[in-house]
Amino acid sequence: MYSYSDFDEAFVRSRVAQFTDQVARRLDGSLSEDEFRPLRLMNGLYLQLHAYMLRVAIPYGTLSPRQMRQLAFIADTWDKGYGHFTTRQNIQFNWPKLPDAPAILGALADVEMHAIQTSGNTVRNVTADHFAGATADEIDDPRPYAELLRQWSTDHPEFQFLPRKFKIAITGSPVTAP
Amino acid sequence: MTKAHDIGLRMVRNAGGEPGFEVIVGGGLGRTPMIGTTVRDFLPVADLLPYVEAVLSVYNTLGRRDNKYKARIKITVHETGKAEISRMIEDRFAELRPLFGGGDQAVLADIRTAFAPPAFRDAPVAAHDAFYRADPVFRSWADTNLAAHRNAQYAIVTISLKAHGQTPGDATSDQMRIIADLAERYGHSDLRISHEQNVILPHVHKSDLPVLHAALVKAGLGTANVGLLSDIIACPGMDYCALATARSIPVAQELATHFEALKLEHDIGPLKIKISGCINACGHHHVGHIGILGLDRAGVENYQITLGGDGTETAVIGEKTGPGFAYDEIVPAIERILRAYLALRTDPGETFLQAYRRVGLGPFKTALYGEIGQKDAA
Repeated sequence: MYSYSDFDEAFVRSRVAQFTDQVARRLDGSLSEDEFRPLRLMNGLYLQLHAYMLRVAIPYGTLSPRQMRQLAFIADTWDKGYGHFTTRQNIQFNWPKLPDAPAILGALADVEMHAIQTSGNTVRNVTADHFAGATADEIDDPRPYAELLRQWSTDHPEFQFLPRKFKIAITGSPVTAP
Repeated sequence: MTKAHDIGLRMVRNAGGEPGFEVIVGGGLGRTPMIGTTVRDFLPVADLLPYVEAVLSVYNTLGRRDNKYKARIKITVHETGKAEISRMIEDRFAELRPLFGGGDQAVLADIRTAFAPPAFRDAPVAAHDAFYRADPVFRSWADTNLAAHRNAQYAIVTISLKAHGQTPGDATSDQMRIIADLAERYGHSDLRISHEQNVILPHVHKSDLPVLHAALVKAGLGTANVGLLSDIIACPGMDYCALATARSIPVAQELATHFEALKLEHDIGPLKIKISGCINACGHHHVGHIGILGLDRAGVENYQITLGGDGTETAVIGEKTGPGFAYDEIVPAIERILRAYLALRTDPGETFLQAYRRVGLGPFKTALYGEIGQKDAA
């Protein structure tokens, strides 16, 4: 699978540092919830019925065992011991505490993961056929194209404030996987 | 799901055998479900990025910012019309294409090296075949949870996160660690999350399947229900979501345990039930073979049923059956629909969706509301 370049690594780490500072300012009251809301949504942190919810991107639904173990570690350390996989191939943690959010993003960055563009009016995580690279009726593996779209869409300056959210799906097989 | 996204990219071949993409724009579910419009039948793969950028660029300029419920590109496509929006996309594409100058193709070539196939093993599968014939529990799981791999010695394994009575799509931290271990031991260290909220091991040698299955069963991950009734998509609903108007997860749990108790789901066969707890449709009820939409009627949960939806390349939005059902009436209502299906199917090979397409809504309306009730419902 794809490994972060130095550029990817530096970008994700810089966003963790930036959000760490934003959370600190929210906690000490220098940012109101109205001011903080667009900042947290840029990092996938929603406010739900009972608690915050953090949506973590799983690019085109592909995970390594090391990343899966880190998701388990996050669930145990900062949530209630479970996670919820979504229809757009992401994972949501339903009970994070705001002061823990920076540490969670740091733990994600340790395994080349993040929650950037899992919310807001941006290009969201690109989804791909989950049988990519394995299924018999595939014309070509869609994952390299999905990764190309990920690199292009992440922090794309022209497309951070679209009229509304934007979702792209790609399949390498003319027939949808069951 | 390429027909229900803002942009769906479906790989196809042209008459010359070259790979490219059918580009489908403006699909989506939510409050205003729409099947996407094909704006390009064949886009050469090398033009992917400038073309997608052209679509985004046109949408960014044209998309409505006055009303968030009319701001998705599906509305832009609908209001602008296929011919005009295609022309605008093509014009913008002509401007953008030269600016890429091949840089994207160099990046793509580099990315490709990261997705080389794993080193597939060459080993006998006879023991697996014998085990499949001898062990009914394994066979039942293999029949539902395995898919054909391009390498005949291998299988694609779907690990169900839909154990009967559990929250669809949830995994405990212990299960995540077990799945990670199994992926390393038997799955070339590759894991996928599926749209159906299950976990996939895309590359498992058939000789490893019996021991993998035993390990999954031990971890509570051996449910043999992929593609069946209890493989339900349900949004978080009122248990978590601030927008929800009804519960979704408990409906999914009760449907799964009800039909498990009746031992009917393997007989019913392939079936997609999708449940949303409000009109935003995160549970994709519009494209469920049976869709359930939970609404609030004067402070009481009320569930509308749609039938015949399809989220694949033959995408269709489901049809509403009629008046909705109270929370404690919804599971019996679904049972009436499925009893009607079992009675009217031509043979066990005719799936629910095929039977629905053959006979239409009528017989299912009768099953739901009775002959008299059907007039009221019309």
